[in-house]
Amino acid sequence: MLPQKARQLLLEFLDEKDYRSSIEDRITYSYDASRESCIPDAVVFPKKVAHVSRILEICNTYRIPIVPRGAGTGLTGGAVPLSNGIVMALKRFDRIIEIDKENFCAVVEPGVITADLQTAVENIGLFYPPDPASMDVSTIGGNIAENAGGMRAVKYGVTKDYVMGLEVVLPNGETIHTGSKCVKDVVGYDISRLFVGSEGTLGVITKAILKLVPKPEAKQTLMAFFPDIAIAAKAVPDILLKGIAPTTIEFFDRYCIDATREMMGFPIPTETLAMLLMDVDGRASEIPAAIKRLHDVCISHGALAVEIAVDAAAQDQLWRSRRSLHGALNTIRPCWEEEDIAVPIARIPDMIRAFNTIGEDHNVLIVSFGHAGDGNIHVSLAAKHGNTPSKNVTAARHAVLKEAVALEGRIAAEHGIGMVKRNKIGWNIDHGTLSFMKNLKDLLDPHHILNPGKVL
Amino acid sequence: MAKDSYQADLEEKIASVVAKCWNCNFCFSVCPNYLSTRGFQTQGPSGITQSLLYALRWDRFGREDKQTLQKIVYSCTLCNACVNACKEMSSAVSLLDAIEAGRELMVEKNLGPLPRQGKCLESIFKYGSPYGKLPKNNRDWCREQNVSFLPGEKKEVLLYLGCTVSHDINLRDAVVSLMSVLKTLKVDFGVLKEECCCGDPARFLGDAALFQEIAAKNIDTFKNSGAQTIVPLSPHCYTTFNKYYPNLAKDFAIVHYCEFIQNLITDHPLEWRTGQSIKTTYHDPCYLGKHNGCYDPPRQLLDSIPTVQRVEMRHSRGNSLCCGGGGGRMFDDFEEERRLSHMRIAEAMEIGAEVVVTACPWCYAMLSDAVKEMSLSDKIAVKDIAQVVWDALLDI
Repeated sequence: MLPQKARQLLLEFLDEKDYRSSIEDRITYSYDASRESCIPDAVVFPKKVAHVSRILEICNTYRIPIVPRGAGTGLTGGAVPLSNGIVMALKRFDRIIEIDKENFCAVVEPGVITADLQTAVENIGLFYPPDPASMDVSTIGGNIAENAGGMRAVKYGVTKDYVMGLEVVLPNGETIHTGSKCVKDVVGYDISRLFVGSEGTLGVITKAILKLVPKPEAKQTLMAFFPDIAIAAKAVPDILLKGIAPTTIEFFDRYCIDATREMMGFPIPTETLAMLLMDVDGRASEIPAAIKRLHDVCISHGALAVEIAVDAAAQDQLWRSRRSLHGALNTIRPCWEEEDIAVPIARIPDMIRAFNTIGEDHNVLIVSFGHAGDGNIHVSLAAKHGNTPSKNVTAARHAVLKEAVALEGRIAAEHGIGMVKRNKIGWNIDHGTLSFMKNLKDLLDPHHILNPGKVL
Repeated sequence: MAKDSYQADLEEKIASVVAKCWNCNFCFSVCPNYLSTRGFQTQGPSGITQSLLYALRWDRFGREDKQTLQKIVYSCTLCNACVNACKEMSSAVSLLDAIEAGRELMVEKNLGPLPRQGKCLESIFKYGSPYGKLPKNNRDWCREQNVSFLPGEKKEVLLYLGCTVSHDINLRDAVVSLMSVLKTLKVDFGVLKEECCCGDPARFLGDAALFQEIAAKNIDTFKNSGAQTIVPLSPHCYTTFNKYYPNLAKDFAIVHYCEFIQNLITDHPLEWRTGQSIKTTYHDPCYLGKHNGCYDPPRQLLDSIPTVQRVEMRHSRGNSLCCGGGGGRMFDDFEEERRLSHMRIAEAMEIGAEVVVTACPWCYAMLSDAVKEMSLSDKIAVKDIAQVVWDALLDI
């Protein structure tokens, strides 16, 4: 229960409709996509920066835990309360304030849906590249807080590469401004990066200046079929070494191919056990040459066949099959657990080999797909048989993360740490660095009211 | 009191569907209810099903504040967008199955539907129509069109008019146009002298018993009609006959009128008027598009007309917005920041359309009302696709 006084203070400036306390409202803000959940005491929907500031002040005064929330699509519990308190949904901050075409940037509020921003800028010949799978529903604020990636990261990078400046409300209610519209800006510390990926633990983002790039003139999609996933993975560094710079390099293992075979609309050679799905974008005149080079590299690495999507409809069909992978995997097994890891790209074959061993050791089916071009692998794990104990899946997940660390990889690539991987953060970060991070958190949020129990 | 097994089955159904949903929230991006409201989680697909699940877990059915749960469960337009989105982007879960089971459970527990929707069920039970008793001379207008009545006369095609068309005089022109087109195409058709509701409102509001009773009655009527093909006007009747009437689709060809005309025109091209083209946009009725994947036939039909310059709205085909009348919302008022029907007309205006065409009596009624409410009658018109076809035919 919220202290009566705090509730009263909140209702002094919040619209009654935007202070939600029915059990149904509280339940539906108690979870995200991580399967973690805890029911908050209230859900609030501020409309103005002053509201956010006042809410944080009240929470700070009454020591009420507060969890900022975008669209709740996170996979690691970043937007899930840990111990009651308040969920602050930033949905009402949904304005694209400015698209500055001449200066290649946009000023937006955190509740703007990523795909809406992309559509708006593309309509005037610009491009906002970060494309997390959730982009049709996830928000810019959530993307910044989680440093979201996406399929285009191999060429364009991730969200952090597009954040030029931020407006942030600190846990004590104070508002600060970081960065600017200038590409070169060394005025003071670069604290924008501090908040990017901080998972709402250090401050609440209320505005962002985002970098835009010119919209690519054209795009082409290529698909290469391989007899072995390690062979496919080995082709990836060579593709990048050749300077081709595909927009995306996605890989499918044999289970993913089987699950989406019918959707793809292309004949797949029977011996295929792995597939690379790649996009090249840029000037229309340059694309055929890049596609030809991609084709040649894949063939030289033992690809069984290479197919090129002839038109936009065929391209769309292929990417739909990629996006539908989660759904399609459910046709093989109904219940999967997900991991998100990164390894240096040259270690992808080693990581994939390890999946086989780990799967055998724990009697668990391990399916992998993801962004081969940047070393980010999404791993889906499910019990091989109905009588496999669920602890086997947990142990296999644990082993996957351990192996990633052993290969100089990371236990989280683009899904955040949240509450799910919090106890494993020390696998990647040494004691001194962790202490520094904790001190920083203490400094900004001494009462640990802001998204407590996440990340650290 | 011990739960009966029917209720237990419904609870099991809800729990098993929701267990497969991992709350990715991807379905929210396509949910018309969520888009037109203040956007609380309870106003989107998986928020509705989670509310239901917790109501089961905590036995919240029957508490004093049942209205909140009622409003949540009955706010869904049942447009099927979430089902399609989940199949394409996530875990292929049919949340609609849980929502429909939730409505059935609420009716079983005397908690649903909403009061005004309850009156509509009462009316179906008493008069075979959600809109009350029809006057005795309600088929006179058909007689004026020299249309045959079944089962008295033997006809190949049964044109199933549906309750909305029978009651709403504003839809008469659309139906008369359709009858004229069918005559031009030399279709051997007739209508039922007395029709009973297809039962869709009973089904989607959760009254399974009433629905089954009606289905049995209608199946007998159809079998005695002597027709081989049923052509319903409403996509709701069409879906109900095709998917929810046991085995009806084995005994009859069931084709929505839009596809029926398009198929005939493909084989027997019509002669069209020429003249200035009119910027026209097509609004996909949810039960034709998102439920049955019928996106192309109406567009092909419009594209065959020389005076139609077809343009697409921002939301179209699988991404189309509901008119706001689906899922039982025709029969009650729901919280909307912006009315879905107004949003739809605004989208049509945005692309400069002069005419919005649809192929569903409910969409027609909702969108026509929106045009009047928005005082746009001098700028944009709502037409049924049959009216557009009939108006464009060359006088013979």
